[in-house]
Amino acid sequence: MTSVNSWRLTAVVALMIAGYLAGATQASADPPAPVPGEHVANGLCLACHEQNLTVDYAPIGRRLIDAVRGWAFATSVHNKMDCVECHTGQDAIPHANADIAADAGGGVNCAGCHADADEGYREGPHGPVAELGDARAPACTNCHGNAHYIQPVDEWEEQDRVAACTRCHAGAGPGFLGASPGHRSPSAGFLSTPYFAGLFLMILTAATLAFGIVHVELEMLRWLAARLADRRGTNSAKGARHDNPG
Amino acid sequence: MTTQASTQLVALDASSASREAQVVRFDPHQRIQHFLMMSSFIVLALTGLPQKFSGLGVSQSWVDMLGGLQTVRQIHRVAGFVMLADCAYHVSYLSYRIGVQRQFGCFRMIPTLQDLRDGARMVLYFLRLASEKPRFGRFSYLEKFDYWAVFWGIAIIGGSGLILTFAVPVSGVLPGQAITVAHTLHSDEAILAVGWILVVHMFNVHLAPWVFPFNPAIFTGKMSAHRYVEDHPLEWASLETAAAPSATRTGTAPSLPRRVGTAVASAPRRALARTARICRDTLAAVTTRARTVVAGAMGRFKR
Repeated sequence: MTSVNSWRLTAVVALMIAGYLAGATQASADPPAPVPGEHVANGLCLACHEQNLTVDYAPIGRRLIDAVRGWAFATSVHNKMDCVECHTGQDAIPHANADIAADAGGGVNCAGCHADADEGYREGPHGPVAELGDARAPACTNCHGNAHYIQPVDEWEEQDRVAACTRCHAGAGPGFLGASPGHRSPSAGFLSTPYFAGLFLMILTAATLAFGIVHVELEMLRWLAARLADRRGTNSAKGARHDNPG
Repeated sequence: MTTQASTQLVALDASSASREAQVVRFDPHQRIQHFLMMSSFIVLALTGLPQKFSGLGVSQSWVDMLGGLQTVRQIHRVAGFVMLADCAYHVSYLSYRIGVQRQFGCFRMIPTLQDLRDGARMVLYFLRLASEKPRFGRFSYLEKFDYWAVFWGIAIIGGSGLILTFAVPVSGVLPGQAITVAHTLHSDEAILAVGWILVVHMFNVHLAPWVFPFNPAIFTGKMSAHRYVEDHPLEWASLETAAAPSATRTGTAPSLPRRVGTAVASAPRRALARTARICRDTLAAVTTRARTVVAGAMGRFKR
């Protein structure tokens, strides 16, 4: 960290110590110097990241380190998690600029914990948008909001869910919510209409293509048999149709 | 789909024995309709399949090459509307033929029990349990299947495509699940359509050894008389009979009449006119009977 006023630095260090003492299980009189792999308490992180501070991180420029409101985080679904479980690589203090750049670029991997949701997202209507590199592809936080304050979707008010859709789908109303399978694949018990529609199409496709392919193969075999028979000089009349193309 | 107006024979340069006679099988409208259907289908497949298989590297490269997903989707939608417009063109064309020109040749595309019998007989022929193939008329059972497959395909894939294109307004009218259903139907039906066209349709019309490399009939409208005799012997027989009633049908290479055209087409036209007259008479009889029944019922009601 550079270009921080000395009084602010003093305050921050004091807050770091206080935060560490408040959150850490192994309190220490000295400022902490965590090493990778060692448990880092959230209180230590919040000591800085609850402050309205801007810091110059060359070469990515000045950045607001105020990322989290601790009291709001405490009410979110992630409140039992340690910061560094998601913000991997940030457990060295001060952070290396490379680590900061990685985190700023969306380094948090939601799919690491939410593998099912990630799979459902990729199989859903938004999946191709993301996989084909479209800039409009929604990230997790575009719909679910800031991960530090996130609440279970089931507990959202309807207007909040509609608002999440209207960020991209202008004019969407409550009826549009039914279009989202909630990152779950349709099954007989969940979204049964799409499930049985898909099943019907799968059977129809398999049956139709099987009919067509078998028909083609039988016709080819019959033609080959007639050709062979003709070559042997026998029974040429049976293959007359195929041997005399127009 | 055809009409009896297009069912005619032409002798291309009849003075030259070296050039083979041809049969007009598709009129210009039908050829335009097929061209629009084919071209829009190819564009739809090339812009739709990368979206279905978006995880593949080749899909991502292809979409990048076309200018990104937004461009690809715009192309896809334009091609979809071209296909729907083509469908409307075809339905309008049929309506005009039937309603205005009173031509009923298109009804020959309607499946009948004979098609089932032909299909069964063809399987027996394939298995060498029958020595002769079934003899087809204007359309074989497989051609009818091809045609009606497009009809159900347009209904499913076109309808679901419209729902996906106008998802937000549709969600105000239909349940939101309709969009998920449309998404499923649209992408799964696409596999069926592409699979059928690539494997079955392409084989039957171009790639089969007895046709290979190319059958130009749907583009030129004409088909060689030799091919016609083999593929549609029943219709050929009726054409030949009308052109030269005294001639014996040999089933071998046809000897086309010099003067052809309306005289040749008159046989199926007469048959269709007779069919139409029977339908009209039947309808009139049913209507009269219905009026009698209704009048009797009303009389009883008044009493």
